[in-house]
Amino acid sequence: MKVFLSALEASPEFKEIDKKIDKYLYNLMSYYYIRNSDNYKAILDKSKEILIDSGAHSFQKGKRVDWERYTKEYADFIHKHDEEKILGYFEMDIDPAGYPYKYVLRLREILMRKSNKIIPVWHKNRGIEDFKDMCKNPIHKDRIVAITGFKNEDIKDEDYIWFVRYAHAHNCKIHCLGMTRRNILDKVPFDYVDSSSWKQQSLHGKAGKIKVGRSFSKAKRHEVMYYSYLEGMKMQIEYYIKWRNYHKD
Amino acid sequence: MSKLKIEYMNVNDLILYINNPRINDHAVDVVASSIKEFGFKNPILIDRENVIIAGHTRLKAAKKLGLKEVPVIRVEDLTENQIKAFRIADNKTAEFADWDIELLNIELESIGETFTGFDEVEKEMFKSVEEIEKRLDEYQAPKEEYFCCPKCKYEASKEEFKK
Repeated sequence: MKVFLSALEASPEFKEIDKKIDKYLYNLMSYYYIRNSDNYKAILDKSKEILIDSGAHSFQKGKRVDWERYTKEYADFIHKHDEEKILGYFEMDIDPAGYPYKYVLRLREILMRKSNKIIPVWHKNRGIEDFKDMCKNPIHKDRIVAITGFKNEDIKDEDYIWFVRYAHAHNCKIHCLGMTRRNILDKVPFDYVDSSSWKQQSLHGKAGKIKVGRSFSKAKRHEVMYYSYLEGMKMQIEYYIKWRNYHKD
Repeated sequence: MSKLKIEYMNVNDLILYINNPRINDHAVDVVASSIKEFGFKNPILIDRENVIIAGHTRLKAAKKLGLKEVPVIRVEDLTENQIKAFRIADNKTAEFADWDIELLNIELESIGETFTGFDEVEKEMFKSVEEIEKRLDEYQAPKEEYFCCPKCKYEASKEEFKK
């Protein structure tokens, strides 16, 4: 299992963290942040593998967004910057925000015109047959499909195993977005997950098992973030080793 | 090749290797369950000084179960360097073999609930494609969580409260 650490590109402390780390393992970046940031290239160069999220959920709730324009810009970005170590690009899954699935498919079409590495993200409103179809007829060249890992959003905890087994039975790899819960990661062999818990923890005054308190000074903030990111890397190694016999890659 | 000789030693006379590169505390319980179910069938390997070469988890499990003695095999035909290498190789080489899922599933089903080290979720991983399909067909979306306002007792979804 490869755990992609997310939110590094959007961290104000990125430059300080980046100075101290020679090589990253797996990072997930959001197009929403990297479209206007030079952190993207630095992270890409030093990472082993990268996933790019559309950033569709990063907009403020209720804000009017020209989704077609945003998607076209995302597609152009993909076309311009694609390279081998980028495993894939998540689609514009805005249906949970109330947009019809047909509209999502139209946005998906825009992305697919520019890349064969688009990862569809299944949500419950699409129905279970749609998940099966995603696995039987994958659009990603390496057959990557995605589900969501937020508790009780799309999938009950006890059902994750069946989604994974179904994807694997159809020779697909499965990513679980935002799945950070260790009780699930220890039991269910997702191929890929992403986690920003390293950052969340440090914002709450924790660096791994060390409690640093929320009142740490601004000057020390990048130190805490750096140690938190290292803890995240330890988690990447832990889960890679734990599941390596199952996945064999 | 010299023949192996099994002897029995007091658990307190065995010494854990200080640089053992295996993380095994989380595995102690499952090994203890195995010993409880089947007995101590796999002797611990030790060197001339009673330092463990292979079997750190088994020793911890034996102590947890309150065993006074365990079977050991003393390795006397390896150099210090070979012992260090074997300590790693014994664990590493075990990782290379794979499960034949079809046969494993048949075996697991034939023994029912008898302890094997596989938990229920892992056993579900070995189900047939038809069974997986059937389980997915039974998919039900999680119920929306409702929250209650502590003041006015109004009930609504998390989303509505966010607004």
